[in-house]
Amino acid sequence: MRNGRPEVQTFAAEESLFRRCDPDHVAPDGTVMAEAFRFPELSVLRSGGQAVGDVFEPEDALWLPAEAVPEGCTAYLLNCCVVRFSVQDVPTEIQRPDAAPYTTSLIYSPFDDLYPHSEVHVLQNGVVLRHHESAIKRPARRELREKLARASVLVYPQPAQ
Amino acid sequence: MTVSSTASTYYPREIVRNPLDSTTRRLVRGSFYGPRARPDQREQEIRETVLRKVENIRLLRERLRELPGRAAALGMYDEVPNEVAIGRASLVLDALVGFTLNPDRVVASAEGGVSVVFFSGPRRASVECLNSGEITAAIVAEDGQVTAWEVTRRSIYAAVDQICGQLEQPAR
Repeated sequence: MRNGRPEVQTFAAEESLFRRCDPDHVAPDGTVMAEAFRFPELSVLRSGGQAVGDVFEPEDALWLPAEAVPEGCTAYLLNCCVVRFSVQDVPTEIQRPDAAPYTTSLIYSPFDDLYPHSEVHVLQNGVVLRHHESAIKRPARRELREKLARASVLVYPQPAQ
Repeated sequence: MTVSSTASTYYPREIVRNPLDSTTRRLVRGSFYGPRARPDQREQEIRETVLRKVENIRLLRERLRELPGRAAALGMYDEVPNEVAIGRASLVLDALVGFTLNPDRVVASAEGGVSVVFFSGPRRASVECLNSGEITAAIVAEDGQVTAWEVTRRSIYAAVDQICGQLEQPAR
């Protein structure tokens, strides 16, 4: 729970970001697939640290915020996996020959009942691109997702040694 | 007399235009590096390759039909794959029948749709068919370089051909 804690918008480069995904999105050798990521507003959970005043675990990404489930219910997605990448793995810029460069920005946007919630936004010419706009070309979006997938590792459930 | 060194000089036109990919063509005509197999042996190899391919595609089609229910049960998708995405992915599987490269799995996509995914060592590729009807393909090389492009219904075969060509190349 947030309990009135502040929004700490700074992210350390090595801070981990957790993303819940379908077990199908992780190959037997641990390779994470781009199909686990959804842009332009990629929902993730930050791992926190000293600056945030709390540390969050990969399993926290399995909780759905109250606004995503019927009133009075809580949802914990038992059958999902969690993958991890770090802040420095998020590509800062995607260049495409057919469009102005896309840049990314990490925004801390806590829910009252999901304090570590954050989002990776995509911008073009300084304007944030949203889901309802198709301004981000599909190949650019695909490239961004593939790069994040390549940097990601499975952290929940713990891969067998 | 001028002698051209193009492939059509050496092989009949129908073989050059054969829609089968390079591995299957090698099975048919024998390898450049080895002796031609005996005709009955070649036929047997081709028959087994085709049967394996057809069975794999059949299993993936079954999996494709199960994906919407499975994705809904998992509860994490904003958009469950719809009929449009599944129809497009079926076209991708149809196109793959003419190639030796086997897709490894079909999965639901967080972007809303389904993907046909290929792994080849450190390289991977996929054709993603979205609920909106859009199709994209991507190849990730061993060094992490990403090639992504838009695909139309008419260019599905060309996209599959490009993926097979890249993934079947020997690793650098």
